[in-house]
Amino acid sequence: MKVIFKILLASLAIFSGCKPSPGADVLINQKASLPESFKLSELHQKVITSFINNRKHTTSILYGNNQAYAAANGGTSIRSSGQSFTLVTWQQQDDAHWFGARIPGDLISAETLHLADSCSRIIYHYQKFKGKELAKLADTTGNAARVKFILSQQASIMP
Amino acid sequence: MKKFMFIAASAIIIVLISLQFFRPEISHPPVTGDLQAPTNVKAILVRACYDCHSNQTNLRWYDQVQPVYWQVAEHVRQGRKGLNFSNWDKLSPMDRKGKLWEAVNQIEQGAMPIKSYAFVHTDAKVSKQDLEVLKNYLIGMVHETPDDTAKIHARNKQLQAKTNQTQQNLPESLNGITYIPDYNNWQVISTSDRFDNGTMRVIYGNDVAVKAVKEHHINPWPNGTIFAKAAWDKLEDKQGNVTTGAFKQVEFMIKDNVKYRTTNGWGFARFKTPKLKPYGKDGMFTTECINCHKPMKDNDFVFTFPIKN
Ligand code: HEC
Repeated sequence: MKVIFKILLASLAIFSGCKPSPGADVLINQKASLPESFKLSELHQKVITSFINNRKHTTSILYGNNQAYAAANGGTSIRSSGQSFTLVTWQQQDDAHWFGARIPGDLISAETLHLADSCSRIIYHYQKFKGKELAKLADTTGNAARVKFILSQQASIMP
Repeated sequence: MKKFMFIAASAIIIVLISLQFFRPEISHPPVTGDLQAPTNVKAILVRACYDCHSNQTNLRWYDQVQPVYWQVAEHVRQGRKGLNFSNWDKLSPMDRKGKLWEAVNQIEQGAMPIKSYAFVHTDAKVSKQDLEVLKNYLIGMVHETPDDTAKIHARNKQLQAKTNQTQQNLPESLNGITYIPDYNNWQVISTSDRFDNGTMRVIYGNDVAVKAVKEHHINPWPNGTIFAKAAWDKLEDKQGNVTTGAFKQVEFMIKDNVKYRTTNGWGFARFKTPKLKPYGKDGMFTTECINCHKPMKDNDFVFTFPIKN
């Protein structure tokens, strides 16, 4: 009896095209996820803007703390100590759920920038983290250009 | 015993025969403007979709036998309502493009043509090669123009308007969902580069959503989950740098499997432009949301693959 019941159930599943729902491990974008140690969500920074590089097929989000966000949205380029930025960049990948979209793929880097005051001069603390594990990068070549790049980004229009 | 079987069988036959006289009507309204597409592309759509998505429904005899006919008639009615290739002229060029991308996505996700229909109408199946033909056609329609003056102008206009904008009452969608201004304090769960329609998007999740992702409880998403998806024009320069242009819209999905039972457990809302104009003509705009999200039914109707922060 039990066997017959099982066979019935199985055939029902086959004929109704029933398949198990995909689990979280399939649905969560693992490649693009940040390592827990980076604690981005605990910084509670806001999105200032997002951008894409169509040649390199990368996509980025620039976050800022309240001061950085306010400055970027005020349309002024006034830089003052206390402003903090985080720039996260991914390689793009095709969206398996939508032909016509690209979503973040492999995590490439995170960059942080803090503005601090020293003897009435602003100091720019910049740090780059690379790869899936966001390993701290010791090499400082090109840092000045990155600082300039981050500070030159305009805020996205928000209602 | 034999006699009983005979009577039962006759009764069923009589019922089936009488059922044939109860027929919902499938009308054939005029074709005001048929879809224009290359011959090979159109042939696929006509063969696989036109029975339900055009006014040129061509039913075979086996479709017309009751009780099957009831279902067929209902499919035709619903199908035409969401997408009708015979009234292609009624859509703006942008909406036409949008519908075509949606159509190809419905095929790719296995949602269209409807399975029970394709099972009987074997000629309606869309093969892998057919799908490639359709996709190539769409890819060929993508034109990303650098330094697009119209888009730059649209952004500048919004920027100027922003300075003299005054805070009004929060707008409400036609299905009664109030705009949630707080979403820009939420975490990002993904972004999306929509080269099909020239927009780029940021998808935010509230605390409930972020926690659900961390704990891997996202199928189904817990009640209280809210997503906000903000969209902008893509502004590309000559070096391939794409930044956000004019603000197009923000869309919300609010999970509450009791309150929003009739819309698959989600409350849908869309507010257009920085003026936050509620989308749609009436509360029935949600049918559009649901039809488009239907292929995601195994993922709690959510397209986004969330990122852990
Ligand atoms: C047997 C009838 C039938 C056939 C054949 C069929 N559809 Fe559908 N289609 C429907 C119905 C009914 C709906 C309404 C939603 C639902 O029930 O899934 C629909 C919805 C849609 C939608 C969503 C429309 C909206 O409201 O935005 C798209 C897109 C679509 N179909 C595309 C296609 C394409 C492409 C084909 C051919 C490959 C196709 N359909 C073949 C019946 C059909």
